[in-house]
Amino acid sequence: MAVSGVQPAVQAFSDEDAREMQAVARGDKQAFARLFDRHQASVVRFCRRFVGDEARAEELAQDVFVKLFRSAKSYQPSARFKTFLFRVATNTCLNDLRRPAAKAEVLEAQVRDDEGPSLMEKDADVATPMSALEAKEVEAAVQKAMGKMSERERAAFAMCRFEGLAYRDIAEALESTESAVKSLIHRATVQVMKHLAAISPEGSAA
Amino acid sequence: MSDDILGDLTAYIDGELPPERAKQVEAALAADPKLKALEARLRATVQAVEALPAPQPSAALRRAVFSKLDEPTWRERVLKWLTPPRLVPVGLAVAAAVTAVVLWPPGATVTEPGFDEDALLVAQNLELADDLDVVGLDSPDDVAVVAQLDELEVMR
Repeated sequence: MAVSGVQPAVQAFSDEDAREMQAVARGDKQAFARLFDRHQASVVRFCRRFVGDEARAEELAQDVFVKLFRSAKSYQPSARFKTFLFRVATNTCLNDLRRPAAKAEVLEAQVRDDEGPSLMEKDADVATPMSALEAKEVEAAVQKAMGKMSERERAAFAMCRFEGLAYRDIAEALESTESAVKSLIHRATVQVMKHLAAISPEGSAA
Repeated sequence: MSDDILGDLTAYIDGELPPERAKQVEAALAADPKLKALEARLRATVQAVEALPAPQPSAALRRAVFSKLDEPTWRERVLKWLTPPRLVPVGLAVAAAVTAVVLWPPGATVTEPGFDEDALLVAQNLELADDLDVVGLDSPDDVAVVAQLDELEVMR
């Protein structure tokens, strides 16, 4: 899969993670610290894209890692660590979004994203081919499109586009099939394409 | 433009199709300019999304996570709280509640004790009955006779 920018983070997943996780199951906090350092950025990114709110994403990332630590004993080394991690992250985000107040919070966050500083403005020193204005518009359009996706589409899209997971791994994390994930990601990508077309009417997505 | 090919376009861009299927999609793209234009827009979309800057975790995240690791879970707190000195009264209270529910299921009405009108009449005239040493007050008629004794005496 062609994933620019995030591919190195994905390649950092390794068998080392599985060994560390087994050590965590024996109560080794140093091993947990190493896992945390390797994957915290990835989990925060995923949660941020999933719920659309920065502060909430940090809280959810906390929950994900605490759950990971407490569920270490249930981890089977036969399962890839990254799919285990993203299964925990997806379930944590889904449970959060099913709270009665969550939908309103997500909508408010999307409005704030539309009006407030975007990720691009906050990380203005990050060099990208897009202009800052263009990137802000793309950011807002993507977040808006993600708000309209189903929960599973959003989870699959975030894992694929921002974390660079392969369809097979996403299927494992969502306890689904590769065929179903293919449909989820296609629908989600088309949804984003339509939102990008609205800010770039001449047909170019970006 | 077949729906079959359309549904596989994103997977084709992501390099997730088996080689045989990817060749079929390529053939369809070469034969259909509209499909090719759509594929270009999807590819540009994927590139635009992946070029967005990634949110970074705050410095406080690590501290927050590690401070929570040693906190007991909700289940552990409950199990810790349930020591024998607490468990016995709680058990008794639960048993009493269960017994109450079994004996008086929700919705059941508590009936007030009924009054026997004859007994009530006798009770109202007990003083009279004692004074006259009346025996065999089995019916309201007996009581009525006792109540009217004065009149009967006058008549005599």
